[in-house]
Amino acid sequence: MAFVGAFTRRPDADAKVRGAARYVADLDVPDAWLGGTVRADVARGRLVRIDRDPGFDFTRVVVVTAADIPGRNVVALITDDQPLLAQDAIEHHGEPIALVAAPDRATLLAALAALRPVIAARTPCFDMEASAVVWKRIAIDRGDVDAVWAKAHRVVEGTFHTGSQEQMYIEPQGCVAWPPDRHGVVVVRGSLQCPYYVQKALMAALDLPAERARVVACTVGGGFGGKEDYPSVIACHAALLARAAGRPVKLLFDRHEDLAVTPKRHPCRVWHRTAVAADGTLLAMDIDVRMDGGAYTTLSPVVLSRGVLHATGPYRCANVRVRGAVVATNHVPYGAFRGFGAPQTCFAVERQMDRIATELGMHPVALRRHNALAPGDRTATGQLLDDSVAAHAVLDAVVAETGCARMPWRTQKRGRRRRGFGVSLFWHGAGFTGSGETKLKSRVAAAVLADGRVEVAAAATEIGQGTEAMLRAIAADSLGCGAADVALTEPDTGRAPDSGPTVASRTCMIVGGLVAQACRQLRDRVGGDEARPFRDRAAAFVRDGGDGRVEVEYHAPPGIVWDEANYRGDAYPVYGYGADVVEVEVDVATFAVKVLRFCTAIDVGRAIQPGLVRGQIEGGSLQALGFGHLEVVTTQAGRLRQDRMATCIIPTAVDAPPMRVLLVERPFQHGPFGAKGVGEMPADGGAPALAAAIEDAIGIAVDAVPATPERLLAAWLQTHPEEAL
Amino acid sequence: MIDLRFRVNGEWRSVRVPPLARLLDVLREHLALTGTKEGCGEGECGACTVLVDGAPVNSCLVPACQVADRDVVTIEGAGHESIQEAFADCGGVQCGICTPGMILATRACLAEWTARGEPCTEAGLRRALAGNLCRCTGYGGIIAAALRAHGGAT
Amino acid sequence: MLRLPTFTYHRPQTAAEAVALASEHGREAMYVAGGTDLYPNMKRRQQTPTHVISLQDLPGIGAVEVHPQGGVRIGAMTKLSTIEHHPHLRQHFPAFAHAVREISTPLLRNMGTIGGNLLLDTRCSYYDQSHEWRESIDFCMKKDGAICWVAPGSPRCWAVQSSDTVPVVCAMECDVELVGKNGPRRLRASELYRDDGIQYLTKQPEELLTYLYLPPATGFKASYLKLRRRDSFDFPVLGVAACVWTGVDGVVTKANIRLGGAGSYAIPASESEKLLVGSKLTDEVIAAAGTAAMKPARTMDNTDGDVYWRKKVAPVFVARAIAACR
Repeated sequence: MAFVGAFTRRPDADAKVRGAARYVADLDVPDAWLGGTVRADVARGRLVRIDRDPGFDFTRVVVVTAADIPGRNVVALITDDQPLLAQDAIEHHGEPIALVAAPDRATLLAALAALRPVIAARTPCFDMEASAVVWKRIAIDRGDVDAVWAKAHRVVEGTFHTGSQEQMYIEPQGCVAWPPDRHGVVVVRGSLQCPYYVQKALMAALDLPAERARVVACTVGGGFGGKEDYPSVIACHAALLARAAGRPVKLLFDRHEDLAVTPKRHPCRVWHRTAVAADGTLLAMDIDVRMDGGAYTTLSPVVLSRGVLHATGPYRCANVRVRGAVVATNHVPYGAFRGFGAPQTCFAVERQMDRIATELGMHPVALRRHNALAPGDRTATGQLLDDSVAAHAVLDAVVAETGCARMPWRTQKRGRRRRGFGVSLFWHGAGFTGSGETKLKSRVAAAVLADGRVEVAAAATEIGQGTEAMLRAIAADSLGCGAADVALTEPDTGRAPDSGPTVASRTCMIVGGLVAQACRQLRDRVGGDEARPFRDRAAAFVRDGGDGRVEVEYHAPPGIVWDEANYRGDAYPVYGYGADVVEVEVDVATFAVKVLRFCTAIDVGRAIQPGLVRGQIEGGSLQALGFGHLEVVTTQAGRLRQDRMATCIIPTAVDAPPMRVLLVERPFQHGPFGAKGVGEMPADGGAPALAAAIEDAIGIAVDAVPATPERLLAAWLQTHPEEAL
Repeated sequence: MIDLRFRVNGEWRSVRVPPLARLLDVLREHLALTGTKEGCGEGECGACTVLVDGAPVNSCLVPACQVADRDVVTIEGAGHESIQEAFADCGGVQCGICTPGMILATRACLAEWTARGEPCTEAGLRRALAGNLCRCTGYGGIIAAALRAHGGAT
Repeated sequence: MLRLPTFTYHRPQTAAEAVALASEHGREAMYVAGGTDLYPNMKRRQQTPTHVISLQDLPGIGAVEVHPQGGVRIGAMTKLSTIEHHPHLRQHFPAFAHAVREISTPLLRNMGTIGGNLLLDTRCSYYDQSHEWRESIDFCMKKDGAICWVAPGSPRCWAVQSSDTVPVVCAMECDVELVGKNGPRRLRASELYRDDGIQYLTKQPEELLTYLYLPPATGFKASYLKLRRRDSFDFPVLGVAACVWTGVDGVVTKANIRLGGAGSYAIPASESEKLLVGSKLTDEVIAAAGTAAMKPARTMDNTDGDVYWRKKVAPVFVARAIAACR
């Protein structure tokens, strides 16, 4: 294998380091108008009418309201409850009400100001605990938890909170749409992760058949889940404007608008009650998860699903009860962010494990080792883990690297600056939850070109994570050719079959698996003497009339069975595993937290491109550390308080610790070359390990993140009341 | 409107622009130099970094009239292949949206340290790049790239 | 969409010309140096001058001049990055150079000037927001509104002094030079500021800051400590400057302590200063001086960072800043 496992330069790097890569805002679109959105300025209400300032000449612009939508006024996704443009009910701040396109910026701004929605305000709900509207409930039961409590050595309870978090891709969202061409085809190009999601939404909104709704992903300046579902809204808006204006329309968000209205991580509360034996064995886990879904369903049901499926952590337990609910509030809908529900529940279970360790006087590493999943164990849904189980391997790797198993846990520290360490052990299901992949039936095509190169067609998008390099390496090694002999199509619904969305740590394992399968079939079909270059043989094969095109469709690995109704069975084809160790220094006067060292071991099955996998792990880990102590996202009357980059902060180069990344490879027999997923996993472990390290350093319970200095001070004063002002 | 004359990537250019057009817009919209990116529009991310007389600045905060007769370098004219190569090879690039600004900020600080005879250290690089946000890499690949470009550790 | 509104842009060639322009246009005019504060504020419609007077062409106010007697004259248009790297300033005025290095980011310091930082607009969490956000609260007293949301019953604005250099130059007893209609005048930097979030400067609107004078670096030691979330970008939510003069016997003869980020001007911690004078800087004296800074630290809900936390940290920072002057 020449390319899998090797360090190769990513194919998009050259254009990016020279400023030649074209992002959506860089597209040169002659005659394009600029689009903008009129939004609600209340969190809940009823749209009475939209007044037009008679002083503005509306013939200079194009205005679109709900009445102008030719198809269905919905953002087609899971539950079609979210309108593209408000018609009557206003459910969240910033909800789109009308759209404007204008020839220039000044006219656009004037027109937006001249449209004045009249809204009768209604009482909003912002408290997820008080909300009576539930978007989705999930229950997982294994064994009988209630039979255990009385027999347990200890029963430990805890409630844990995680805040929202902004993806903060550095490129704001945007799309360009063209009006229907002479064949009636509408084209949208944009900064998006999932071309076929956008296509589905366009078809519904503009009442188009699939062949007349073409969606192309540009080079994407970061996504992290933030460009999973929301681009459907922008694309439909842009397409409605383009249709009305009869010319292309650019709908590009500035940072403020992007922050104010696009989805962020779900705020979450998790309650744990755990029965343990004297030796630390987990006897029963009773878990209740509640998430704030915001004003519309969007992706909340699947976020909750991944959340509850990861709620036990990678631990063996015969008796489990998990109850999950994601509820409606009048917040801007929360949505996908790297980890997708798992960082929230992972934080809770890892803090609960530390709490148990403290209660039992056990070392947190020892407690985790004692309970970590091993081959032959079953998960809470009854899934038998028999292949590629690396919980112990990753824990051993960070322990060997940092020596943390010998560091005393929660001993009294002294001095102004106190150091502590924390460990987390986590897992992450690769690919869609449950029967998602089976329903999706992803497809990938590979075709020999006239010159013998092979074009691989997939809708997987390059959002920075390294899709192109990864798929190319898999294709080249599957074909037995050079990486330069593989061409990838643009993620274009007009050219690439639906290989599914670029989400859920699925691109390598699922799409890469399909690419490997298609390329192996092609290699067999081309045949010939493998001593000769593949390209020559392939060129000859098609010249001689051979059918050089293969299209394959996803089928779940044999034996994978999922019972959606009862949440039983194989929730994911396989899991990846990770362990983090964080060392911090906390100033007990200012409660400033400095991350001194960070070590992580991640099992990806097989690192197709090790350099890029490291990049994913380092970047995801810093996001997780930011989630843990720095990144505050709050609302006031339903409006985001941090709606500028000055206030919605992410770590800088000076805030980022040096990172030690250990790749653990436990190949998965059904993954391409053994690969599983990597994208989301690094988002899971950083926050709980950081919180544990703070707790170890200063001896106070850190049950909520972000663990800001203010929060730490408040917790400190609980145990040091004499220091209160 | 003013007739703005300034040197861009070594070439004298003249454009007719509003005096308070942002340098960012002049570069992107009038000179089609779209390698300079807009991330926030208020100096809080560094994606729009260009060099003015050799110093890295946020082009979203610079009015066009302020660069009259001055020397502006964008990523398209950054030259210095070793830095670009190092970013491409050391994991300094992921989504690429911060990359042009990051490379120019790196180029400026390495040049400054060389001129002053100061050593290139990881801590120094982190401080020098602290006005350029990256959400993808965790900065490790970027620091490694800058160190390699300087001929230091890899 | 963050673009500048339209306004007339002036490029005077002399200080007198600049002052004349500013006088002519009165409240409609503002000076701009590096533009790193004014332009973003204008984009958010926090400041809305219709005449902007650029100081970029004014001669003679863009350099650091070291005087043989030991003092330093710094032109108001000197870039912050020039100061932070200036060998003489780093060696002899480390607290000042450090404060400059703590400002925002390297990119901003290549654009921003010392004059701009000394005259930095006061900030507030109800004011430094997007226009839409401010509109949603019906604006505030500082701009376009009637109420100070920090203290709704208050007749005044409580926006907070947020410059890193102001506490230092006040503590170090630096001078500034202003040019007005009647020519130049020189005054103590601390006399330039007043305790009001809107009218935070004592100078006349048309008066132009031309120079900062640092006194000879003998007889005192100074320090600056900054509290913020990240080690870059962020404004201080508390910035403590200390400057301590001691005799040969180690007894403090004079002490200035200024709290930035705590009120609308750099608040003097007078009780702390009194406790230091006549004593040696022992741990006990420093601790007492720190505790005495609790009262003047009037932290309010006007910036990032919870009020209680900032108030709690203030005495700690004061003690640490004094200790750094030993």
